[in-house]
Formats: sequence, C-alpha cells, structure tokens
Amino acid sequence: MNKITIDSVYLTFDERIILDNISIAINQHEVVGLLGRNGCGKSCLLKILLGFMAPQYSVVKFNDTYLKKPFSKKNFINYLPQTHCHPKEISVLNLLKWYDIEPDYFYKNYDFLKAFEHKKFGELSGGEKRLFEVLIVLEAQTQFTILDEPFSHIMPLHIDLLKAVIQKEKEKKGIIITDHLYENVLDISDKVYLISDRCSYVVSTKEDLIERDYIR
Amino acid sequence: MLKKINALFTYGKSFLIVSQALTIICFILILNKGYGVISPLFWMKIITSSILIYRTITYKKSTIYMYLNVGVSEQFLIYSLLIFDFTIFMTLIITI
Repeated sequence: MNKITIDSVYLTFDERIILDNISIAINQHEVVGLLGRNGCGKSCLLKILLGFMAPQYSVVKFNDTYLKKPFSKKNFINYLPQTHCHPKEISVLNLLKWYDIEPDYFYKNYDFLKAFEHKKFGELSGGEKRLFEVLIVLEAQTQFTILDEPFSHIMPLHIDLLKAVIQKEKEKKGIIITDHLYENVLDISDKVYLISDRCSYVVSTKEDLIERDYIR
Repeated sequence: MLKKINALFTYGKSFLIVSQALTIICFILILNKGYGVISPLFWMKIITSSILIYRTITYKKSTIYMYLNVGVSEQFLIYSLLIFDFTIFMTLIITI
C-alpha cells in the first residue's frame, strides 16, 4: 500500500519554535485528520509536505523514497487550500474538464450542481464555490488529496454529502483533512493527529481533545 | 498539451495584453525614430516585463494551487510567458 510519511519536522519563525519533531503518516485508502488551534502550524505542516515551505528540518517520503516535489509526479497529489483557489473567469464546466472529470459522471452524482454548469466560478456563492472546489479535488484521479478546511462556509446538509464523498473516495486515495469542525473530522477519519505544544499526538475521541486542551 | 496552453493563457492573459501592447508601442517607436532607440527600448522591455511578471505572480498567488492540481507548474507558466513575450519582441525587432 502506498504511503506518505512526514517525519522529524522542525520549523521556527524568528526563533519561535512552531513545530518540533512532528511526524505523521498517511496510507492510500485512509482518511487522516489533522486538528489543532489557530496558528499551531497545521497549514505549515501541509505546505511542508507539499514542498511549498522549507522548514529547518524535515523528511518527507513516499514509500521508501524521498519526496521533494510531490506535484511533479503526475496524478499523484492535489491540494485544496483554505481560500478559494480557482480563477473567477473559468466556467464550472471547464474546471471539470481541466481536472479530467467527465461532466456526465459528475452531474450524475451531484445533479443539484447541474444548474451551475455554464456559470463562471466567480458567479457562485461562497458556499457553492467551496462545495464545488472540494468535490472536484476529491473526484480528480490522484493517489492523495489534501483538504485544508473543506467544511468552511458549507451548510450542514452538504457537509453530510461531503463526508459521504470522502468515505467513497477513500477507496481510491489517501485523504488528509484539517478543519476546526472537529466532530466531522473525528467522524470520518481513520486516524486523527492533534498538533499541540509543537508536537503531534494521535487522538481518537472528544475526551482526548479535552485532555489536550483543544476543546472544553 | 492543449490543457497547458489553455492554462498558460488563463494565467497570463493580463500579462500578455499589457506586454504585447508595449511591444507594439516599441515597434512603432523604432519605425518612427530609427534604430537608435532600440537599446533604451530593449532595457525598457526587460524592466516592464519583470514588473509585469512580478505583478502576475503576486496577483495570481491564490490560484496557483489549481494550476498545480491540474499538472501545470508555476515555473512552466512564468518561463513560457516570458519566452513568448521576448520571442515576439525580438522577432519584430529583427524583421524591421
């Protein structure tokens, strides 16, 4: 089974230690959750994994080989940042084509999005944009997907849909999710890491999160 | 390849419009003033293209992840735009 490991991460900003000896691993066909307070370094950790950020020290491996530029491997990984990352001027239909997603297949599964087919991405509402972005990134044919706050701005009904899609897509790929809606993350993840006090801890229940002072 | 070209023009549309407009202005100036203005125009072209590409990188920063997701690297986008721009500029100068 394919596996990405990120090990011994040491990151500082202006002599302030952000991450110290952090290690996480994700297998294909697995959902890994990443929780932590604002500013604890979750997004930085994801950017280190993706090669966008160079920490003082880290080892990122795909199986047994070092992984320096994950995006240079075709259909290997995709990433959805916290903010909208798709150009406003591109139509929804063209975005599907760019991601090599068959529109008929997509609209068969998500028929309520058919109404947006010929709209430009910029014409969708904030929640619609987010939902569409998360769905296309999940539906794209990659081995791994990284989602930074996928549930933000999304209404509860669609959060349930996304959770179901994530469970379905897990059959094909490994998925890393970070979000402050911790209950959703706990629900769908096979393994959850909490970043606290610069270190990573494996957690599985709400009580673990209380114990680590993430929630009260 | 078609996807890469499509991505290139989506990413660099504003850059190409402004840079090609400057190329046309340079072309007209050379035609009117003669070869003596080539050297300052060449340096102006380098400076304006550098500013424009920096502006494009900054302005498109939030969308770069989409290009990476669909298999188009940032280096490809930036170098292709610059090479395309200077190829047109040099071709026009040479053919005058």
